[in-house]
Parts: sequence; structure tokens; C-alpha cells
Amino acid sequence: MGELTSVVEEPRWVCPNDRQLSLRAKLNSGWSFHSSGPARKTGRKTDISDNEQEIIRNVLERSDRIRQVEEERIGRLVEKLENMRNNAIGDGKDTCLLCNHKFAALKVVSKRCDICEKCVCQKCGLDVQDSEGDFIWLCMLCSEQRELWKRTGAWFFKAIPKYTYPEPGRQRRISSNRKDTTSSNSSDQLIFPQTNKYNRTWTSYSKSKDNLDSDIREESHSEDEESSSSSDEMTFDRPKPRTRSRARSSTSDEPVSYPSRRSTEISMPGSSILENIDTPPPFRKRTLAMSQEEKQRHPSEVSLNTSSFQATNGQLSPDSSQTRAEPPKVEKSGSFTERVNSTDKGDEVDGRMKPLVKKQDTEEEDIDELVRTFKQSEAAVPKEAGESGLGTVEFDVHYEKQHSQLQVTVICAKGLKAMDSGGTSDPYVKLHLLPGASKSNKLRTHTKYKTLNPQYDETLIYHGITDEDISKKSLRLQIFDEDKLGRNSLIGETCVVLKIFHIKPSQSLKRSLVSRASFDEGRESPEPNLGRLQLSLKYKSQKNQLVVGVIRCAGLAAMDANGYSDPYVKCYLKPDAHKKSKKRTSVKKKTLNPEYNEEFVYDIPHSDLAKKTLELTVWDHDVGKSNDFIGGVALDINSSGSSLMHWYDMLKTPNQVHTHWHTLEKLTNHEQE
Amino acid sequence: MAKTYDFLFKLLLIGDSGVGKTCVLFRFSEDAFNSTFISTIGIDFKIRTIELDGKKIKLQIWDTAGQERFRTITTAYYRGAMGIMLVYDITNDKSFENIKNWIRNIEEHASSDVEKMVLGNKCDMEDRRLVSKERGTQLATEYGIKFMETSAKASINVEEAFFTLARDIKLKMDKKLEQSSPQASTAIHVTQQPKQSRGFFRCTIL
Repeated sequence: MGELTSVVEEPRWVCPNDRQLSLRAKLNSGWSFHSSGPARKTGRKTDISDNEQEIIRNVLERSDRIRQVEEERIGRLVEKLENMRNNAIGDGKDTCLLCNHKFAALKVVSKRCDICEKCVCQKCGLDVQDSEGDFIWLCMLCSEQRELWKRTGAWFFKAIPKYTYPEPGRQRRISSNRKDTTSSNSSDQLIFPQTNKYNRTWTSYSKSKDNLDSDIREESHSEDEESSSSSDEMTFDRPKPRTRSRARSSTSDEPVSYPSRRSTEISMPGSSILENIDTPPPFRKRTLAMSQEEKQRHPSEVSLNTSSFQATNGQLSPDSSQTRAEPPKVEKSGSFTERVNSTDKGDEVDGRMKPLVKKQDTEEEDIDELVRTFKQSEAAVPKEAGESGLGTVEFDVHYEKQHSQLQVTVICAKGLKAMDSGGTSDPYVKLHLLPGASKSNKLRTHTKYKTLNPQYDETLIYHGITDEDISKKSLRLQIFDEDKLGRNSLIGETCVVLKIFHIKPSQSLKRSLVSRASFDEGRESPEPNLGRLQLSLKYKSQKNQLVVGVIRCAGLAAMDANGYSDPYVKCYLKPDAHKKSKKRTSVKKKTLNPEYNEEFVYDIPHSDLAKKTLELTVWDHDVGKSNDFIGGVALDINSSGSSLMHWYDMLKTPNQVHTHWHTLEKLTNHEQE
Repeated sequence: MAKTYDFLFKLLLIGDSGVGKTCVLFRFSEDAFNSTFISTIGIDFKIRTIELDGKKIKLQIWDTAGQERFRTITTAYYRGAMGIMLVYDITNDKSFENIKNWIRNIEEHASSDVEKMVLGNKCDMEDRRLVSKERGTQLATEYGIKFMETSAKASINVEEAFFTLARDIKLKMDKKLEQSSPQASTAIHVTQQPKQSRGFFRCTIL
């Protein structure tokens, strides 16, 4: 060892001031005898020992846990705001931005939010006192947004820090800023322009058994709610009015109905109102289930099944419901554009309290009942449902066991959202089997031009489908608008769990599209599919160089239709204003286990290295098309697991080659091509 | 499941080796004191949740090794810190002199928004005092930072110091958002722009 001396030799972390320089000249010693003096001497001989490294590692692991809790907390906050946003149904001019209350001269007074300048009714906004003591009027959205920036620390880091959604698999949509052009009110609003490294999210959670239960209960809520009375159907969808009432009457019944929630904020004016917005019960369950982090981090077969189970759950319930109401599940499952065509509900506020409490009691009981209804509803043909505004799609699915074929006949789509300027779209339907969406299992229909009601009548066949696939996979159906210039944009999608074809191999389905089906990419059988990357790192302290060796990849995901990829690896040392650090290996053709043995050298002082992030991304090279991202790995002081260890080892023991395997992940903010 | 909290503030303790950073933290987090000197290895942190104006604030306080040999590790933690405590030892003149260097260090590595505070530790050892309180105050006003004399051993001002720092951070946060939230909401529209250019770019390639 002893390599660390190089670090110690260069105390470049501070430059002494004039006074100290003169002092130093007089004393003939360093500027700091107390700390750096002795340390420097010993530093030459002693390195950071293995023991010490171990201690530091433990500290880092500990902080990792803290960070995870924090990420989940931020995820919950972000989700809450997203839900609020999606439930804002007014236009902010003649009606209240949030509750769509029509403004009338005397009855409903409109007030303009000082931030977004949209008008809201008095119930959907609040007076906030700023530090100068002036009161400003904010709509609930803006004040919640402000609260989010406070609570997440975004005010300090200038962007929302990295976060994970509380529910398994519901992590941030991958590359949402690239793909999703569907709706302006989708969660894109939460992606702030300065998405720096804090925004990176790739921890994926899968489900444990407990979560399944909670999901079923969740279902029970919606069902129950619908049946209880039609007047309280909005209880979940629009938290604001209810909250408001709670704050006004200052009842402390909250601990009764939701025992696990904090009651401390009740006394707080202003922000407490936001705080009191009920996390719906299912949410709370999830929170409990999160304590089992271990399980979640090592997802199993079981978890996969349950998650897809739940996927349809979220999908189907809106269609099968017989009332106007939308179950809460819908808004949670990422159907961002679905909105409620509500009637006036402003005066029912107090009536909503009771059903809420009642729901608690019943929710535990008829789970069995609900599983049954759920199963029925799954097979049922949904009623005409265009609530999403994105349109509906009709298709037949036939599973032919003998030939191990899955035949999907896309019949037609109706009432699609117009994507082109002419008020029409050029829609085509794209199919994927999930998990493991890639070009190799993509099928698509022809494009029908200039129509919102395309008739396809095309049968697309998946060959080699096994029973296992049927029990595990889901079929995702996406409708895209073909765009001659640029990227085709997604109109909407829907997801079918193939399990249902076990019982009844041939079914006709009609689905309403959502902007993002709940079976999103984050839930695809978690990362191992992407492949692994062997990497060597070495820091040469004499030359101040970091040598990154890309050795090989193994088991990469196939991105091309031939079942292989043409992979190459890109290497990038962030942050780097001039992008000079971007380097790439050669392309290895038609392989999933490429060997590169290529080295990249970065000239960088050791002290700067701690602030950098080394990002390696594996891409599938495509001729004439944009290259596909397979997966990547990011190494820095804030990463975790093997990445952190590797990075840390490299920092701590320079002049030594450290070789590690890394599992590729779907980095969310990797450098685009 | 961890306790709920409203905010997470990350604080950092820096200062020369042996000034009592770890002891101050130990006093604050566990309300205890240990007089044997165990040099911190690299970094460590402690958690304590405090309540300010009815808000629960979780403080994650990073304790750094004063020793130079850990400097590369410790400086990596400057960037994420919202508040930094600069600690010197009132019985050690050098550690006081070095505060300036530590401040420069902060300027170099930490976020510009970071709240700072100077602590003169070991103020129970009046008989061995080498740095007068006035000098401490003077230095602090020079840099516009708050200053306190503390004693981890006698439990003087430790609690106050952390609460003051946390309050300052919270104040800064409230201030900052009043200026920035309008921008935050308008900035949203920018994200929609790149798609167009991207599409166009692809077209030219083909």
C-alpha cells in the first residue's frame, strides 16, 4: 500500500493567505502544525488501513439506509403533488382551477393565485405569510409545490433530489422526457429543468406478499366507496375540499380514522392544511410494507406475479366501475390524464366525513369478496369508456396452447386523441410483452392515416409463447401517432395480464387508453435482464490520471430482432462542461457477451475525483436509427452497493487496478446520445 | 419504519483535529461525554430529530476527521451540506487561526448557500484559555457568521448552537422559496422544448 501518500503530498485543498505565508516563512513550518503537520508526516508512512476502510464503509452503509428512507419520503411527496395536479380539473379562468367550481358574483368568489396567476375558489387556496409579514394568496397547487421544494431540500439543491416512489415498481418513468409527448398535464411538470445528478433514480422495488394484501384492500376501498353512496364518490379524488373542512372545524378525528398518521400538524395553520390532505389508506399500508426493504430489494418470482396482478387491477377498475366515480387506484396507477367530470360538490363537504370512517371498518372484511369481484371484472367487457380523453381500443386475444402462439387481433380504436395540427392522428398499434420490452418482442400494425377512429383488423402473432410466459407476462398495447418528422408520439396505452388467458384462452377486450399503464418499465423484471459489465478502475497518482478499463459485458439484453445486440460502451466523467470526457468503445456486432478490453484515460487530480461521477452506459448500435440504450452504471460517492465500493476502492488505493462486475441498471438521467 | 419528519437538514462539522467535533456531536445526539480522545476515522454521522416551530426536522450531522489524511473523503461531503459548523478549541490558538483556512475550504467545496457557524469549544477550561471570546466574536463578524462558545463536556451551548444553525437554515429556506417558486412554476414549460429539435436532428441524419 502506501499509495495514499500522493494524496497527502498535495495539500491543495487550501492555499494559505499572505499572513500565514509570512508566518510560515518565519517559523519554517507548515501553516498548520496542529492538524496537517503531524498528519503529513505520518501520512507518508501510514495509509488508511483496511480496518479503517471497513469502518468508513459501515458509515457509508448506514448513510445509505438513511438516504433510502429519505428517497422514499420524497417519492411520497412528489406523488402527492402529482395526484393533486392530475385532479385539478378547472381552467383557472371561469372556474376554479382545482375543483372546477363555477365562479359566480356572490356565491363563489374567485381569487387569483399570486404565483401561477390562475383563479381558484376560496376553498382551494390559502393565505401564506411571507417573511416580510405580507400575506399572499396561493392556490393549493402552488403552495403544495412550494412545500415540496421545502420538504425535499430542492430549495437547496435547486432540483428535486433523487427519489423513489413508495409503491413498488412505480418509480419515475424512465426517459419520460424523451418519449412522452402525450399530455401537457402529465407528470412531466415535475421534471425540473435542472435535472442534475440528484434526480437519478433507479432503485426499483418489487412487491412482497404483504403488498398484495394491501392492494386488494386498496381495491376494496374503491369498490366500497362506490357502493356506499354517490355523494361521496369524490372523497378520494379531490382531497382538498375535505381537508379544508377538516381544518375549518378543527376536529381531531384524524387519529381515529387513520391511526398511523401523525397528528402533530393538525394544530399548524397554513401548511398544516396541506399536511392534512389524507394519504389514502392504501398508501399507509405501503408505508408499512416498506420496512421490509430487504425483501424488496431482492425481488422474487412471486413478486413479479403479484405486480402484474396488480397492474390489471389498476387498469380495469375504471372501466368496470358502474358509477361515474373513478377509484383512487386510477390516479395512483399513473393514468395522468384521466379526469373526473364532476358536478358541483362544494357543499357536500361535511357529508363526506362519515363514509370515510366507515370504510375503514369494512375494508378488512370482505377481501375475499373483492378478489372475486375483481376477477369477474377483469374478464368483463368494459363499458364505453372514454373518460381519459385518449380513446379506446378494441382487440381480441387468443392463446393457442398447441402451437404456443399468442394471437392478438387489433380490431379498431375509437375516439383517439388528436396529435397532429390538422385535428387528426396517424395512429398505429404497437405490442410488447412485458417484462422485457425490447425490439425483439415488438409487433406493430400498419399505420392508418388521418383518422381518430382507425380500423385495423390485423392479427399479430407471438410465436413460442409458453405457459410460463402466460402466467408471468403482460401484453402492453400502445397506440402511437406516426410522425414523419421526428419521434412518433404515444397517444395512450393499456396493459393486459396474460394470466387471464389461462382460464379463457380467447377473449375480446375493449379498453380505454391511459397515458401510462401501471405496468411501466420500472416493473419489468428488475434489472438483471439488462446484463452486466466488467470494469477496471485505476488511479495513477504520479500522472494524476484515472484509467477506466471496459473489459467485457455479459448477458446483455437483446435489443435487435435477431435476438442479439450490437453493443458498445460509452464512458463519461460527469460533471463536465465541455463533454470532452465522453468516450466510447468500438461496436461489437451481434453479440450479447462482448469483449472490449479498451481503456480510457482521464487527466484529473485526485482531489477533484471525489466530486465526479463516472457513468458507463451500454448501447445497442443501430444503423439508420437512433441507438438503443441497454443499461448503465454510475459510480460516485453517492452511489450504493458495488458501485460505491468500486469507486471507493479506487479513491482509497490508487496505483492499483480494481476490477469489478456491475449489474446494469436503467439510469434515468444518463447522457443522451 | 423510521420516524416521520418534515425536513432533512444535512449538517457538517469541520475543524482541526482534536478540537472536539465528535464530542460536541456526541453531546448533542446522545447527551453524553467521553473524555478519551478517539480520532474520527474518515467520516461519521449522527441523527437527531428536533422540533422547530412545530416542524420536525431531522438533522443528519456529519462528523469529519480533522486529520489531513482523510481530507479527500471529507471534502466530498461539503457539497451536500446545508449547514456547516466550524469548530475550534479555545485552548489551542492554532486551531483558531485555522478557522480562516476552513472557511476558505468551504468556499471552495461547499454550496454557496450553505449556512455557517463558528464554535469555540472547550469553554469550560477557562484556566487554559488561549483564545479570548472577543477574538472569536471578531472573526465571526468579519465573515458575517454566527459565533458561540460551547463546551461538550459541561454541556454549554451545544444544544443552542445546533438549534440556531437549524433555524437559520429553515429561515433561509423560507426566504429562498419566496423568491424562487414563481420561477419554478414557469420553468416547467421549458422541458417540452427539446423534443422538437431532437426530432429534427434525426431527420437530417437520415
